[in-house]
Amino acid sequence: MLTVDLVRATCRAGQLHVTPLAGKNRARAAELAATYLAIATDQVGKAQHELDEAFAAVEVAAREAKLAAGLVKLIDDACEFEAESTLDPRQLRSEVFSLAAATRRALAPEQRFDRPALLEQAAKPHGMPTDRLEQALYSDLKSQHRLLRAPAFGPEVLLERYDLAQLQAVLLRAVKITAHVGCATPAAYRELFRKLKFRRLMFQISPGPEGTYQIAIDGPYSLFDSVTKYGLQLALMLPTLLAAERIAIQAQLRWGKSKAPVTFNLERRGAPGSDEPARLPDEVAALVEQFQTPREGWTVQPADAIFDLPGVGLCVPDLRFEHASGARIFLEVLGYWSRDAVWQRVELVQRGLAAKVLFAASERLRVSEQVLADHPSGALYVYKSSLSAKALVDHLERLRRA
Amino acid sequence: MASLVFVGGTLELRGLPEQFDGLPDGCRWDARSGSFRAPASAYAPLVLALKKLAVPIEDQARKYVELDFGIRAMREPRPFQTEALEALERGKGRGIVVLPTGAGKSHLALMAIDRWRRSTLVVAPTLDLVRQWYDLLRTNFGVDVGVVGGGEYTLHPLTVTTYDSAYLHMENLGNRFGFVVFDECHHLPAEAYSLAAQQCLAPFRLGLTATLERADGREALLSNLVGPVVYRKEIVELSGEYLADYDTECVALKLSPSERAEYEAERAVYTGFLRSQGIRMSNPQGWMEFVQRSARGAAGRRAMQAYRRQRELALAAPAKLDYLEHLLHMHRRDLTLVFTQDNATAYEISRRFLVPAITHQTKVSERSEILQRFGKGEYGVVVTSKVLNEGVDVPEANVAVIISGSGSVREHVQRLGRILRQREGKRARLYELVSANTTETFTSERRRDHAAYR
Repeated sequence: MLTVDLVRATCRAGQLHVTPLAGKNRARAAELAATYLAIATDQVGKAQHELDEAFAAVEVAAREAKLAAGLVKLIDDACEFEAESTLDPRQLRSEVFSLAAATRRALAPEQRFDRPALLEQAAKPHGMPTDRLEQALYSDLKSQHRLLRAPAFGPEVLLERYDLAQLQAVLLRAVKITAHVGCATPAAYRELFRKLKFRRLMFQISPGPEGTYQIAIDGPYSLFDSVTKYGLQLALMLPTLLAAERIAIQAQLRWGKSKAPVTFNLERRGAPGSDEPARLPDEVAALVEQFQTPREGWTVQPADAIFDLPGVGLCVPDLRFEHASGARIFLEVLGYWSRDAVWQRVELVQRGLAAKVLFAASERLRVSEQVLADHPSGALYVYKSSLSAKALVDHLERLRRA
Repeated sequence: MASLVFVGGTLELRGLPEQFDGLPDGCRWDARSGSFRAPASAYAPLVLALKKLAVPIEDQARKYVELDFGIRAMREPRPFQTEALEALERGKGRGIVVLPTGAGKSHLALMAIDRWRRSTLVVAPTLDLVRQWYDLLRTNFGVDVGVVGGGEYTLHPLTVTTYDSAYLHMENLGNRFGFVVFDECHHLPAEAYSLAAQQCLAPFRLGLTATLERADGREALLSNLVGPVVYRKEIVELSGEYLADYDTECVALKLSPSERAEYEAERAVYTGFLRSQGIRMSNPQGWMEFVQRSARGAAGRRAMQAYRRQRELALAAPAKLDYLEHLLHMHRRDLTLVFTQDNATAYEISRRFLVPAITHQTKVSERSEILQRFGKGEYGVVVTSKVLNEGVDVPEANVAVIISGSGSVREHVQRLGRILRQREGKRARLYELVSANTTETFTSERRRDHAAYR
């Protein structure tokens, strides 16, 4: 990842604009990327400080300095280094410095410390020349590490990484982000919320336009102060957010030395692969197939709802069943997830969900339909090997009449 | 029943309706979680308020314990340490004690840990200090001590960490300690570090420092983060009786004619650029302005290069290293600490004089070994960059040489404190090597602007 100081951006009227790599600039960046990657490949086997010096020797104009430093940082992150291991430098230092200390202490006032003689004395037991000894003395310092492997990717991949890394580095200074998200599938939404939870971020969901959701994301302490403490977690969320079919992000930042409040907007439509039609999980698709003609007045379509009960949890249904009478019931297929996921859904129902929801779980989870047997707005359907349309309709009917 | 839970450095008070009245300031309704929320530091007032309101709560937040062990052998405290502990008691276990380096702040902390006997976290600025606190706590309490930082993460009822690690991890471990000792607590008001203090629920807090005042004036925040200053003694009040006597000597060294010529030429390039751009270094924004403008063109980059070179000539002039050779010979039977401003100079000295160096790149175990051998006299010299500035105990050292340094008064006093630990018949010497007639002379004058030098 890039550091904040390497971001190429300008601030105008309270808005931060990241300078894109486009047109001539992108061509020039590709040139630089190729040069630096070639240097890295060329320097395999050399010390890190030599690699740094070789990078620094590339002439770049002042206005390109940040771009160059950013590319170098990403290459450096992808390089593998190792310490030279023929002699233990720490042991060597201990020997040489002890000998030097004893020698210095024993000097008479008129005697002088003889460095070359001491080095020779220290090098003798190792059977090496003194210049080799001097070289080995600090070979464990990071700057002395040897480059083992250079990155295997080409300039185009590096530029793609650079584009993402710039945006992520901006979010390092974010105190809060508000994302308008449109995911193609419930599974994608679930993945998004799972990652938010994993990163221990907090969020508030509200419906947005055109079937999207507005998700305000920050951390527990954000209630009291606008802190950049969660910036790294927000930056790490970015690839997941950008994978959504439609995404617009507004980040509130504290930017520059003065930590001035500025906003940063980012909009994407059509993540890679999002032009393909959304694919339902196999068992859900098989169920939809069974409802191609209405069954006892029930028809089905993909769901586009998220039910969130702050402090309890959320559910993202897969399907929405509609009855000829106008009744609507959602289905979330929990399959083989976990017993905890089932208990959390039970609690959601008991605490009052905004709609009627049927949860389908495999019998391998060892849960009983009895836990929600008579509840008016939620039911549990435990199935054996696959979802059965007939059993499902029985549950739907029970809930409809409840 | 309502419950109180520690979540990411905050307290979630669950099970009360949004309309519930009478909670202390700072405890707010959080729509994200459908619960009340307060910074973890509000733990004590919040629990007291709920008790007063007769709201029964299940406290799942507090995970610290009362220690079932105490200090093994209590040394006779010095009168001012007893006074300081009494002052802390009057402050109900929250407060800051200001004592000069070497006066025994760590011992006071041990007394306080023994007095309150709660799981304790000690927060220190550097890994060297963490290592030292680790040894101190283990020896005095005879128990395993946890370390968080420098690649380690072990938790015990007595644990030591750095300010940086506290910022990173307090959201996970802020409920595990009832007592926190902030060593060198003048660091705490920095924005990130102060968040660590807010994300910790410890009701008892002790701040220790020799130099409370900060250049940015943020020390005022300490009262809220730790507690008020409950006790204070200045260096001049304790010198002689409790600290070693010391002499300071500033040695002005001339640059060679060729160095002088190069210094003047580079300085002319740098100051010429400042003039042409109308940048005034006396202005607080001057430096930033220079950095920004120097990035914008060839002349600017040349000016930055010139600035660095003239500074390098002044800070690490060959004349200084030659003089250091003379000092090392003169004090060859003493224990000498050499301080540099940067790692490169530290390693240059290490290689040239074949003496061990400690920088931030030195691993904890090697630093520990170097300092141990220095303490035993096996090494007569240790060269270090900024890492040994604060509170690291090297009581055996009796000579310090400052090769170069920043203008910070605090840094200089801390370095002086290094060699001032009390020892019978000890007279410490501090040398400062300054390049004559360079900007470094001004820096040196600035850093000696402290009571200890008057």
